[in-house]
Amino acid sequence: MPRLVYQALSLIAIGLMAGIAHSCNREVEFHPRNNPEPAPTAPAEHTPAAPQNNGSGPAAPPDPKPQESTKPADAKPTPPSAANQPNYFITVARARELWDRGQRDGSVFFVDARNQESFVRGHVTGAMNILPGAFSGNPQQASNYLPGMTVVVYCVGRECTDSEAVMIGLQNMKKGIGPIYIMHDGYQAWADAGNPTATGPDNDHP
Amino acid sequence: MTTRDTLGTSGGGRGRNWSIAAMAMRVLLGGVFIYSAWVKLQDPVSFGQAIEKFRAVDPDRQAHLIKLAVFAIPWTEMICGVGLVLGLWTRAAALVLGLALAGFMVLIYQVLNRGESFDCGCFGRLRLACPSKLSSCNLWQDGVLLAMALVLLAGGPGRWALDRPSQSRHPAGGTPPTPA
Repeated sequence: MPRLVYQALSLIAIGLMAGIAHSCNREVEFHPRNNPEPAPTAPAEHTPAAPQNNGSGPAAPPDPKPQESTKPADAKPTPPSAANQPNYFITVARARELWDRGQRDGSVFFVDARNQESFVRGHVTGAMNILPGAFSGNPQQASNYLPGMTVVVYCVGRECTDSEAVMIGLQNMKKGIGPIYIMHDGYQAWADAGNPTATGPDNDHP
Repeated sequence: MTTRDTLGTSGGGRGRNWSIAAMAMRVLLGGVFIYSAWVKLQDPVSFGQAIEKFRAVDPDRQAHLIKLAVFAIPWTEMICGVGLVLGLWTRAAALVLGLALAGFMVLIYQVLNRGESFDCGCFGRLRLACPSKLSSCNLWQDGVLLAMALVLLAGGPGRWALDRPSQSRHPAGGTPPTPA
């Protein structure tokens, strides 16, 4: 076979081996996992994420009690339609309720998944700026502030998938962060509704 | 091809011009792929989600293939990009990247044919000439890059490349001459 083909196959083989080595070294999920149903007065103790699943239809129990962190086999099976719906998308109104709760007891954090320029121009008051690319390492902000916290992630709006990527990154950290929600309509809807906003860089969460 | 090889290694003006053009294409094409590969490796989740949207494989039953592709594709791009920039195994790198570009173009065409559009993560977060959502612009963009890859495949790396010493001994794409 011509040398060219040998070289090309070698390059592909090297890339494959590097990819296999990297994928074995890094556990990564590509889909957000559903949260257990929120407990409004949940303490800051560890709340494990829903059972690990692949694909788009995780089968989380619909109303587990906070102590129901047993194996999925012990959980009561849920109707297929409820189980397949993501339960992490919330409205601006619901996000505001969580924000108010966070102001009272400090148990809720907002995470802005947009780029830094957008964050500086305006963000939810008290939010921290974490981008999807931050999870190639271990984002210090997430490790320092978010374990045991309820988190609301947002980005531009419904068409933006960065909030899902950040949510997956937070879940993949396995540091007891959660429940995690996504404010589906994004920052502009929050601001348009007259909710608290701030400008400037994220200096509150070093 | 032989003529371009000669031009690439000769001391003539046309050889020099070709070397300059080849160097520019190698750096541009290789640089684009190195950067895009690096960005994809930084954010494998977004890239994995983009791969699923192409529907090249069934995400439910072939999730392991997606996970492999999420890391293997950027690493292959990175290695070939470095090879192009250095002028090492230039033709082979151009061939692999050309095949990758052709594959991407087929997938993009299928997506557009389905009437869908999304942020494909084709070059990670690097925006070349096209908006973030897939459109026919992406086909043109990839077509230009593919053309560059084909030109390098046909014309070789030029004078300023690590390939040059071995290339002058063996015609590219052929077997070494048998001893008399």
